[in-house]
Amino acid sequence: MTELYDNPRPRITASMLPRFVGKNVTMLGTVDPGNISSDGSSFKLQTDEKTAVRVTLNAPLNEMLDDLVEVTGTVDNQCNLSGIVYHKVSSNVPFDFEEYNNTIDLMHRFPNLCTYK
Amino acid sequence: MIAVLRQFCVLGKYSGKMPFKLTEGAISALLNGHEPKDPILQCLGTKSIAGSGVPRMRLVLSDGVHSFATSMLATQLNDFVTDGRLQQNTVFKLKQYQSSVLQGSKRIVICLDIEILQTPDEAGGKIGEPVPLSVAQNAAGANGGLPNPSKPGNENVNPSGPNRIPPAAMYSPKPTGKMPFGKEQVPTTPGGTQTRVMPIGSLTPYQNKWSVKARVSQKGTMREWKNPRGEGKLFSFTVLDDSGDIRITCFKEEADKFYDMIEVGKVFYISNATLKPANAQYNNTTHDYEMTLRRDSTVTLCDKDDGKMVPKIQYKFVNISNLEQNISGLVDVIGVVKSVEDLNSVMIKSQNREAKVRKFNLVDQSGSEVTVTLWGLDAEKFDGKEHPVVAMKGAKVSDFNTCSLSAMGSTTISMNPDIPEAYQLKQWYESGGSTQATQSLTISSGSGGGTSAANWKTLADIKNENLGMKDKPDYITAKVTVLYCKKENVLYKACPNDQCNKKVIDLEQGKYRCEKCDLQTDEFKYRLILNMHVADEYESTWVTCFQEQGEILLKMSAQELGELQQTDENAFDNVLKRVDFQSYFMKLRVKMDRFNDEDRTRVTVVNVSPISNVDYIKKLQADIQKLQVE
Repeated sequence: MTELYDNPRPRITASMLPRFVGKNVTMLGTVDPGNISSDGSSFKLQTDEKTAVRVTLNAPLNEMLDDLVEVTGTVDNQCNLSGIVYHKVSSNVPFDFEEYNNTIDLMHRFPNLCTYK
Repeated sequence: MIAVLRQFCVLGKYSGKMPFKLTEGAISALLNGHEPKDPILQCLGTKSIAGSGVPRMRLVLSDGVHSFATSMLATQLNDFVTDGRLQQNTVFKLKQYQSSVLQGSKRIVICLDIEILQTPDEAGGKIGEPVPLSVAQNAAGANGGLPNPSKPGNENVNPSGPNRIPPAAMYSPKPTGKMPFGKEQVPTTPGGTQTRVMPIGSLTPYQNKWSVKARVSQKGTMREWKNPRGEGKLFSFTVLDDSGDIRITCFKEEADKFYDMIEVGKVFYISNATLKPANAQYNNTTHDYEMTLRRDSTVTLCDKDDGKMVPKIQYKFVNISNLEQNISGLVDVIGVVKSVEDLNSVMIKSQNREAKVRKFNLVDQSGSEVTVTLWGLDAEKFDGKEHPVVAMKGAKVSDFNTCSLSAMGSTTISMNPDIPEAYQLKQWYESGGSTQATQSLTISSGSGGGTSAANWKTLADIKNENLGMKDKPDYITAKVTVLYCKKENVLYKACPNDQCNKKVIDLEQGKYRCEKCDLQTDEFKYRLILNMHVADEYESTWVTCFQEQGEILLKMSAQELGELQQTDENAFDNVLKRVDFQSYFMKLRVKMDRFNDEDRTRVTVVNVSPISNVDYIKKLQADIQKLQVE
């Protein structure tokens, strides 16, 4: 757990996953309760209209996930996330994933302006 | 009888010169709309009527049988009266005249050319015993075709002369609705009991009796007006027949009387209305004139079969893709509702009222999309669910957000109309049109970078770009944070009149006076003026913020704040502190002002809105995109 916070865990979009295999990243998406595995150990994180990322947890869920969830974890070879930490994000306004992803793209395009220290 | 005898005596005295025979029956004929040629009449009196310009001469005319008091002398003939050629008992020949019906079926004859035949002396006084011909008798005369038989003796006094109108000429064919109509046929309806149905296209203010049979193609909502001269309400509608369409307006009582009766699609007989030149600003018909209904106007529903022949609404549809060529014009459009926004309300500042507004997007086969704005009732009752086909007649094309449509009071909106174009569109939409990518003509300020409508600037740009130096003020939008809101002179006491916001003079003892309204009352309303220091990342400036925007910022009405100031100084200060360090999107008006010989850039808050993160991100991304291109 502490190891996770010692290293950078950049916020990325699904399209960047291949570049971050083996690294820790942070992703935001929505979880449909229907896309949680029956044993609660994994779920699908919808990061935009078309893309979903499979997230495997260290320990099974002990609560219901619905709507916005932010996950920090390691990217594996299949571009799945081995989730270590997740937390629910509550928002009373509709979340604009398109703008969110565009902004992350921009941050990665200008790394000198947006560094992770 | 004595008078008759005296008359004989008078006649005898002038036996040397035979009196001219008056054209007996001419008055009755004139009043029934006939035009007897060169009638010989006697003037029984003249009266000068002072008007705004040249005085007009009113004449009392007699044909020996009837007299008639509503006759006017054309002003160019005023000399006849002023130099004494035409006076009481003068006999003259009416060579040219114009006869028309005034409101209330009162007929007036205007004498255009006369020839004096006998002076009063030569005529030997009043000829015959003329009876004033009233409207009622006039109507009776028309029905009977003869002078009222209740006046015996008249015929005896003046035997029929060569100028007498034969009774048969008083008959005119009774008009019927089926009668063919040509422009050369001036409607000459006796008695005003029945009127001829005329084609709308040939209506002019110069006809007297007419009626139209027409279908209501559009009906506006009831609107109220209020200006310094008064207030009232009105509504307009448009009717059409196969010759054209015309706009009709009803005011006040008439508006109430006819509003519920007028229904789009129904056919009515309409008569007794006033025609006046069409005001192109509000009128989208092709007619040169428009109609105003009066108190005595009649509107009668036409039964179904009778009205069948009257055409339905005629559209001249413009493709959405061609709308941009019609900016600020009125068009007919038809399309499928692609999406609908929720009902919103906006403040109309000029009228100081709230209006309901709803927007929806319309697409058609041209692959173009346009945003349509509906107002008031139209907005409230619009149901855009399940992608209906909407046909609009007379929608306004505006260049707001590049190109958009707006429904005006005169616009007719038909949902899923029963016309071939609608079925074609529905079919197109269901067989693929719904998924087709469309090109939107309307570029909204709220999205898509927001650079087109909102003029994004930083506060530093005000100085750098010399904003406000031109004749017209500059309007900019900036994301600003309030640093400080002054606590002094935040409120002033204003005239309680709705339209007036002038500061009142405190007359002490609870009396206030408004100079503008010339009104002294014991009440007033509070108005807000906030002076705030605002800043963005580059610069700071002082701005002034008035009533509505101030109330938004403080989340409190000026009235509440005023009461708070009187009762709880601390709470009042806290309300003003609430604004400090809050961020907003502000639309600012920047204008150079000369005050006490000193140029100052005045910045006024025109609009305040909470920061919309999504909009702001879009704007920033567009800015970055632009930087990359450069």
